[in-house]
Amino acid sequence: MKKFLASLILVAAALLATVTNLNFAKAEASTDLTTEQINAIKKNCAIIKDNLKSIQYEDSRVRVHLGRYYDTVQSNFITPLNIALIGNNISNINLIENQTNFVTARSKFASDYIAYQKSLEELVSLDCTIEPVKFYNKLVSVREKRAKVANDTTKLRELTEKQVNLVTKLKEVL
Amino acid sequence: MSSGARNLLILGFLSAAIALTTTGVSLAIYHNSGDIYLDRSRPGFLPDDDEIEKDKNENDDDYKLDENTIITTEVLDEYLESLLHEIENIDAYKNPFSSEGLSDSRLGI
Repeated sequence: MKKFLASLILVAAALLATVTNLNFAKAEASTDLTTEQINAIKKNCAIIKDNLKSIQYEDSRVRVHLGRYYDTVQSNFITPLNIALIGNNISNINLIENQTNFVTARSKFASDYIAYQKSLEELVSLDCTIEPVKFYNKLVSVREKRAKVANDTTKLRELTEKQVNLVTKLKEVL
Repeated sequence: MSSGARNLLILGFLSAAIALTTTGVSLAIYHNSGDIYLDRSRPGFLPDDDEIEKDKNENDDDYKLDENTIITTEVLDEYLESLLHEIENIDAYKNPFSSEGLSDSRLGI
């Protein structure tokens, strides 16, 4: 009984250890900071972190709203039209291709957003009074990830616009 | 201590250990999968009252093309009008996730 208990506790401890997210710092691009910038980061650390937290909140709000619009475009417009076209024996490979591209772009938007938010959370958890250079390097990395999310929203907007153009062309041949 | 009391104590500790382990695993999965970043029900990220009201009004106006409809120019006209309205909603968020948001000046660096 004692041996069983001991082994059970060991298994539980091992399980907890494996699921604990031990993020070892990846090699990041080093950024040259001036002494002035380093001092500014240390001095304004609390304000910087407050601003980052408000950005986190604002980003989550924007992500939800845009995500809902993209979902509406896909579920209420793109997909039903392709189904209706099949039912009407109308073939349009461009619209089907646009649907595939839209689905792919949405998935990329979600995964890039998660990666960006994870990175932003790691940034907020750093102490910029103690490690201003590491903090700024992490900020540079977060900016790159944010740029990817911005590109994803641009891509989705373009695909939505393309849907309008394709349907306009379809209307002309009916 | 009787064997029954001892066993009960062991059972108690075992139950607590299992509960802690499964809770830990669940939270780790929730965090590592990224779902935590998509979840707006967590404290500090809840929508404001005016957002909830706006969302409710928008949902009431949702257009959806009937998959069984006969495709005519009139149907496509209505489709395009509604789709353009959705694009207006998307465009209301000008330059989402722009670089300006994390600029040095915005952050106070």
